[in-house]
Amino acid sequence: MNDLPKLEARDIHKSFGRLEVLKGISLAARRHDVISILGSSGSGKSTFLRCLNFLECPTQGEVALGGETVRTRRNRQGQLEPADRRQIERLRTRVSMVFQGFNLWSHMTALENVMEALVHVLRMPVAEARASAEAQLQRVGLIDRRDFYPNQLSGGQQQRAAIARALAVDPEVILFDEPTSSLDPELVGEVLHVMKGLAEEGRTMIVVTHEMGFAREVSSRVIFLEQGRIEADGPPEDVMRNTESDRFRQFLTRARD
Amino acid sequence: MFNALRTIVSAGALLVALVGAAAAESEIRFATEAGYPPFNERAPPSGKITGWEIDLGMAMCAKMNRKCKFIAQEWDGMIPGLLSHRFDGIFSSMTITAERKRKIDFTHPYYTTTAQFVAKRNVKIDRSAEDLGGLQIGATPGTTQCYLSKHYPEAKVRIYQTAQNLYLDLQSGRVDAILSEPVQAEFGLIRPNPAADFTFDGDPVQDPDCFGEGVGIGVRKDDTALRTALNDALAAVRADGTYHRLTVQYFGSDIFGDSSLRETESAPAGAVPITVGNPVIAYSPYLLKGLGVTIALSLLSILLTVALGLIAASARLWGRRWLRTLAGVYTTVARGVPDLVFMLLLYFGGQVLLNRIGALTGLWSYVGLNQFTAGVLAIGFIFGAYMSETFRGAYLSIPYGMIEAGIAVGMTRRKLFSRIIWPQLVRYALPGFTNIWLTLMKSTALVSVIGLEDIVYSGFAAGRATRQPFTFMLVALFAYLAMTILSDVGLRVLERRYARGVVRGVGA
Repeated sequence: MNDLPKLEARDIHKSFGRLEVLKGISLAARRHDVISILGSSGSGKSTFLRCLNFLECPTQGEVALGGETVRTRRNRQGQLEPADRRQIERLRTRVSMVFQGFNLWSHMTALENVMEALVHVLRMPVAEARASAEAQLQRVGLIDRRDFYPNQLSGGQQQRAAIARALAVDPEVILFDEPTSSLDPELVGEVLHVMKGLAEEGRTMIVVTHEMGFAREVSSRVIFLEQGRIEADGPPEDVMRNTESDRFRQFLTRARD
Repeated sequence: MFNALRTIVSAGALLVALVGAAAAESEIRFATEAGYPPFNERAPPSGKITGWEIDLGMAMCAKMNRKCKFIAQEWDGMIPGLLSHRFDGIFSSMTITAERKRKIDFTHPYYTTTAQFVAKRNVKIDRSAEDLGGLQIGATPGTTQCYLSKHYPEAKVRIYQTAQNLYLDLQSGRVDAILSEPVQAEFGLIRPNPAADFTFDGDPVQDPDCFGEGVGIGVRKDDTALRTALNDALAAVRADGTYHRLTVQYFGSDIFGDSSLRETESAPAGAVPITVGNPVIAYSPYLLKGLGVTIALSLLSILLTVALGLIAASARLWGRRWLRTLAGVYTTVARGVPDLVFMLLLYFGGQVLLNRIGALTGLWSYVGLNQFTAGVLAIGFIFGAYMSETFRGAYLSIPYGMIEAGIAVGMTRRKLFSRIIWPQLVRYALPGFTNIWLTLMKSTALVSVIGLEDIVYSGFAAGRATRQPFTFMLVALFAYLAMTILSDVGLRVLERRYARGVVRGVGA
């Protein structure tokens, strides 16, 4: 059981109209993997991440969680869609997502945001959910802000609250979609610090990012996407120092400037 | 505008006329305008319908051994209502004219209409001149207007839709003199305003071309049995003196034939319904009932509005193409149709349509569309279109990321709606909702055209009966103001509740 990948994507294709954004991407995330996905804008990296929990429906391919494949069918537009709503809803509770724009629910306090899925999706008793949510806020350093609404928090604080929300359901995999891209530079550090802590704790994470430092120091594996294909793939020290891909080398050079 | 309205009503009547007759009922239902004192009016405190015609009608029914009742009906809906079997007779001082006789039949006249000039005592009307000495003359359409244009073609004439407005403008001085039905002028103008020193000028005039052959009870053309019975009953009350007793009691003279009111000046003072003390207090139970109708109508309409709004907004946002088109057509049509026209059409035409569908499909035999239901349906239908746009806009204002975050944690559709979408939707929709609600509440006043006794209707009826129209207009005005202020306060509380998390002045 333990050798099964926590999350596996097989031959994912995605087209928007005639434009093929993903041209067959396969990826397996094993326990404790921290996979950084790099790529220039338009390379399809965010789209790929969103295909993993079916926020975006792939045109072709399969996604499996802990060995359970998402059952799909083809809709009228020719896209795949989950065939069994209950199954995908259940599987989504095991994969959390952290968004670029935080996407906290603005009508709920930080604490309520973290409790929401526990109470209303996992049906945990409220008192238990509250204790658990408070522990998560403690962990990301926001326990004193628990009763603040999202728009009373700074960007960094909002993203940390969103990470606490993602952690609360004790997911098997956490997907990060450019978690620091909409933050002011001075706020990036606090979020990366929290993410680093999670990696050290052995969380399985797939991170779409532009933070080269994070990719190099924290991740166990780096994937470089270019024009919808995997262009480079390997442990960061290997692949980022001496890649065979000219494009990846150019990308890294540009990122350093 | 009124002519257009009349055309619509006539079109409704035509539709109604196409349906077959409903089953005869043992009780005879007479329609009355309930606003033409002392013939028919509303008496305090409950707004009960009273008057000379009601007493006469009841006396006639006693002769026929039939049960009768009077129901209130606005003037414009009289003939359509009769033809659609909402009642069996029009007992409301309706003059027998050739035009009306094409649609309905009349009994023998039960009194005769004349007309007489009224002006301030010091105004001299030169009745020998074709222009009446250049005076500005007020008249009502059809009857006195016809007489003036026939006999005084050069006169400056101003037309008023109701006698009440005619009297108000004589008082205000916009017209120098009026030509009016004398009984009504006596009781509605001269006596209530002794200080103004109005008086009749010259003798009552008659002209069958203009004033018709008298005033009769209108009945449906196919209802000859009722017409005969009423004619017999009229003859009976004339013969046994009941008729004479009643007219003298009310008018001080017999108004059956040519005899004019001027011959006897001594109408008993008690004949005029005099309200003791404050008229508003005297009529308060009736007014409160009207207010209750307005509130119930508003609340039910807003419920329907919200339901239709949600359905149409969902259809436009997520529906298949044909559903989106349908919802689009609905919002365009409902926002393009005047609510007054739609309400009249629904009330007069809707019932016919319903019963035709029932007859064709055999699903139901007879469905009565009452005034209240018609009002709720019409208002709900029209405002539902505005509400759907408000909801659609509100939904599109919700940052999609919040919805995505809900999907990503594995929420079911229902949870997503109740926990994330609805609270946000309400927040964005509330300002629009508030606007619609305030407008809707005021639009309920339109139901008085189909004769529903809301606060406006009862206010105007009490105003006519007491001849204090302004007092009761103010009462209605303040009733609306109170309702809108109350709703404003209530909605503000709601708005504050749903603005949770939107803290002004505290930014990120």
